[in-house]
Amino acid sequence: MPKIANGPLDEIIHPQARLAIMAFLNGIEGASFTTLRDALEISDGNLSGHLRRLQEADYIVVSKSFIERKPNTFVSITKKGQKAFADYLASLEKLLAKN
Amino acid sequence: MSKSSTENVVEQKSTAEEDLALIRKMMLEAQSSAAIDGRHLVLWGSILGFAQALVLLNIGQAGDAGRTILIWFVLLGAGIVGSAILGYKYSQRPVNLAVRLYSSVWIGFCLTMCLLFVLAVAGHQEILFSLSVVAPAMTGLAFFVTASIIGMGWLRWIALCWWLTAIASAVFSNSSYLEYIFIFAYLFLMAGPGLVMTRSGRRA
Repeated sequence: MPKIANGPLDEIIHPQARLAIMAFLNGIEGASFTTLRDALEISDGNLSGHLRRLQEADYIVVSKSFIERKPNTFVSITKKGQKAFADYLASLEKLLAKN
Repeated sequence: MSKSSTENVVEQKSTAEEDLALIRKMMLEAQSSAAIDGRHLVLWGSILGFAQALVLLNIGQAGDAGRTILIWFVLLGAGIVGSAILGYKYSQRPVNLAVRLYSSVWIGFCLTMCLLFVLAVAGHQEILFSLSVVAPAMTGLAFFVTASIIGMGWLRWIALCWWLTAIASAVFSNSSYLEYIFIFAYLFLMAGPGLVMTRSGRRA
């Protein structure tokens, strides 16, 4: 697990792409797969992999539906995910304040 | 502190700063995506302005009250269907609390006005007479609340104009110019601001 001066960072969130996903979802109710992909500028496969990892940790919820007969994947952050993200943010801020 | 541990702390701090910058950027990106959509206001302003113009033509041709009610029913129905289509079409857009509040204010307003209209045509004539004052007054209120929710101060001036329209409607209730005032109000005080809001893609 990556470590900083104030303790371990959540390794599920730590990779840049996953951190970006969590930051994007944190202030909104949710976003579609395509919105996330465009915002992060990463490939479908790459995004799917990161979403799967976050979903396994119960940090996000992925729901699938159809809009205008096209499949739509909607992603939203869970309470557990919000807490994990807030903790991560607090650790970063503490690190910056300390040094 | 040894040289390697000092380098480690500097590296960690640099990484933390990068992480915070990334978080800030993505949060701004999310807020930007959850933009206020003025399409519904454009739709309703256009439909209500058109309905008012048709009513004016109907009155000019000595039309009956039944036809006026039919015009309103058909166009209000068209507005509701249009709003539902817009909502469905743009349902993939990210939503935050401000967007949710903004939508709730206008859906609530729309449902209240439709309810009052249905009650009025169902026989409660006293509501029908007050509707021409209540409608612009409530529209002003909805714009005033919207201005606070999304931080667009100039919408308060639109709210003021709607309240002045309500006063004009009460004072000149028997004047034939009232219909023209309402056509102007729906087009320039509802569809107009909606167009500006949509084009500016206002962050919520």
